[in-house]
Amino acid sequence: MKNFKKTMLYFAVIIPAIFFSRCTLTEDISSLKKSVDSLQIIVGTPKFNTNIHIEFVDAKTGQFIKSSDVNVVVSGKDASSIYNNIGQKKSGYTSKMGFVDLIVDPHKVDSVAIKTTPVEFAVSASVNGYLSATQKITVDKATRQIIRIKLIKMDAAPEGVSVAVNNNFTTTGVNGKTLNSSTQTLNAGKQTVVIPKDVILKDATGAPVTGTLKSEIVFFDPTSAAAQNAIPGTLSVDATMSNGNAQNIKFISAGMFNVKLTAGDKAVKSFDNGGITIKTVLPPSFINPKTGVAVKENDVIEMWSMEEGSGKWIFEKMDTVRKVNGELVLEETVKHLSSWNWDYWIPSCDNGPKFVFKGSLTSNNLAANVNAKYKDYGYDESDNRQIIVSTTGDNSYLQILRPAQSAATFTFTNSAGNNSTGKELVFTPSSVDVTNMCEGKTYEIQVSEKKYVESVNVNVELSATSASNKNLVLMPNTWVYYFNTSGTTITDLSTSQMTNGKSTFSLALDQEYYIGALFGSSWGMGTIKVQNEGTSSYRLTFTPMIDFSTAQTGTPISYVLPKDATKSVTVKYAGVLSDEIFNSLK
Amino acid sequence: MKKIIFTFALSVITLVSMAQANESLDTTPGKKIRLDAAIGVGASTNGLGANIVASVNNIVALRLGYETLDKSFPDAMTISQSDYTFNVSPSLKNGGFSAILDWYIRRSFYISAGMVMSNLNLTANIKSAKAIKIGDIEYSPDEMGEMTLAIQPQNKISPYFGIGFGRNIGRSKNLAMSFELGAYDMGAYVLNVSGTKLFEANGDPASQTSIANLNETLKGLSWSGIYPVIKIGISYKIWKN
Repeated sequence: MKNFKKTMLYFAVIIPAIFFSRCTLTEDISSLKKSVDSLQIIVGTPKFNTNIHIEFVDAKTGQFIKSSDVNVVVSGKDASSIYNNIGQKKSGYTSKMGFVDLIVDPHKVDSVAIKTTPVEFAVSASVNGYLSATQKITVDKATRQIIRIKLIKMDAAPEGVSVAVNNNFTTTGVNGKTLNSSTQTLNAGKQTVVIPKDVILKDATGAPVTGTLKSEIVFFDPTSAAAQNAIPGTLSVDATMSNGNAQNIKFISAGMFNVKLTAGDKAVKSFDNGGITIKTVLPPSFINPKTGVAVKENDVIEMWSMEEGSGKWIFEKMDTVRKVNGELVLEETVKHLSSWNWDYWIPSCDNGPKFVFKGSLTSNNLAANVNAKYKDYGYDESDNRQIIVSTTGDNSYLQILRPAQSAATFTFTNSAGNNSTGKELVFTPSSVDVTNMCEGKTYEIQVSEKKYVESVNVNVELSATSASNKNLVLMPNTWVYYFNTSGTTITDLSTSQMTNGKSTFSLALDQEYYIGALFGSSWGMGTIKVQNEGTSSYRLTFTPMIDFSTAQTGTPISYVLPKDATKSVTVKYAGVLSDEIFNSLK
Repeated sequence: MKKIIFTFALSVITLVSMAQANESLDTTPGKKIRLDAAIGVGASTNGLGANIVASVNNIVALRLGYETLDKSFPDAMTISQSDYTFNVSPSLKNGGFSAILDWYIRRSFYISAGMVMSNLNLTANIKSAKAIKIGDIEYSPDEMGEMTLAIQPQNKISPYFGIGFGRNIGRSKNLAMSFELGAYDMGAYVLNVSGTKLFEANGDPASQTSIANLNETLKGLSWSGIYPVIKIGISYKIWKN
């Protein structure tokens, strides 16, 4: 018994010893310290649900205005709540590659309240060589919106838009008074702009504008659908009516002028001692919607001017159609410069029909192009729009902004822009009859995919650290844009949402794409191409682009990645940014 | 895992052998098997708890117990990373069910072995100490979200071994006291990280390379997973045979 107890005592000692006998404290602490020192804290950039993607396109060609940056100024009721997509407040924003991404301060977005109290602001866009435009934007959903603003190129305007530029239109004395009467005609005299002698020209501050004045006059033909579609800010407007009340209406234009007079960098805003006279001949076939028959002598029509900055249209006066030399004429003297428009109007609304696109495409949340065609109060509209198709329908809708209270038939077709990603989309139903576009109805459209070009899903995992601190890792939340390098129009653009640095792109095999993301006014981009590498791998080549305008590129980075059953590859890229750039992103 | 199996097997063999030895010892003519039971309370590095002790003689006893410890330390410290300052709020949750055999080598000295189902969860909640401007928009700490680090045992069920002074069930008196030193072997400690809002990506396994490296290091440490136990207890005999 004594021996047994001794044996047990031995075990009692040996077992704790087994616990601790392998203790290599110094080495352990060293390896622990190394692991702890390399621990990383990951911070995502803010994810803005209410994102307004504004695209600037040439009204004639439909191409993005990429060659020059568009200057964007935000104004209006809720302008203080608008920031760029990295949360910076600027007096003006600059587009890159033809678009700019703005966001609404998340503190100002309540997904319920915004439906009844929408966020409203106006965007004024200007770029050299184009007619400036102001468009009101109403945000009544806490989701992403795509706004397209068409700008008219002064030397290549769309059909039905007449442009006259005269570098020596008139001359004023030191007091800003015109020395002579001057006339500018368009369309063989069907439209005229006359400035009489002795009219005093003033700028926005009330100071006289002196010297030789350049005129830029644009007229929008009321019988041309292309011209009406190109009207800056569209014909669905916020208006201050004749009784002073605000109302959403849709114009039916009988003729719109935009007149710009400048002397050097000074622009004329108002006139004393008279004004300028604008005149247009009405086409005999123009229908007066109030009477339902062709316009005739003594019919009355409202004249409206646009308030610069807000894009709001103000009722000015009633005009009467006169008959002059057998032609029906509208003529008015205006005392301040902006866009002037003779219009009939019908009520419009903010809650146009909404089409939600649902489907399980090659990759969920994949951007695809849809072409929606419909008639809005007699005008043919074609909205070639990119949508984010997802199984849930989140962010995946097309809403007609501010339509008239009229019926319309919508047809949806595959857009040629999908070709570059190797897809053809099928919409079910492909046609929807809407009895009243202001009923605020939502229609669900199922989207399926016919693949006809071999494509590869590229999963990208992107992160960034600063040069001086590798422990703080930034993972961006943004939208990534890509289009094939031979594409130039809006239909070539595809979009993918990046969440915490992860994003998926569907790329056609052997096709090279530009790929990039906007961070404020900085555009990080490169080219990407996927090719077969043997039978079981893909070769993905990414070439950073240093300067798009000069096509200067960095050193290509090439990955050979195994194919999986779903033809997907994953690329991880951890960038090291300068402290300055890194700090601007977080 | 081999370490656990080996330790556990050795403990069981030891105590079963002891029990058999003592049973044979105590069943010698003139000595009977005597079933006693006691209830006890205790405080240890595993928390506060209670147990039921049953003995078949003065040498072997079985303890079934439950202990718990749940303590938080809000904003106990701050750490800085780049131009962020974070409040760190640690909390400790511990305890669990245990089944332990005590063998009394001497009148007031025993060795123990058994199993514990551990509730160990050591967490640190990390949250920005102040509102931060990102771009020109200010975010409150709540809007930024938070990150949570949790250290948990690799094995929920772990072997226990210890030595003690005094008794967990009285020998002749009803009241007994004990002081015990021991350790659980939980395999290793494992760090888990999760996050919300701006820190959400910390919880994504694909983004946890540095966490995975640390866990590998932890698993490689010889003493990782050893949880020391210091315990005092008092018991009262409620059943005597």
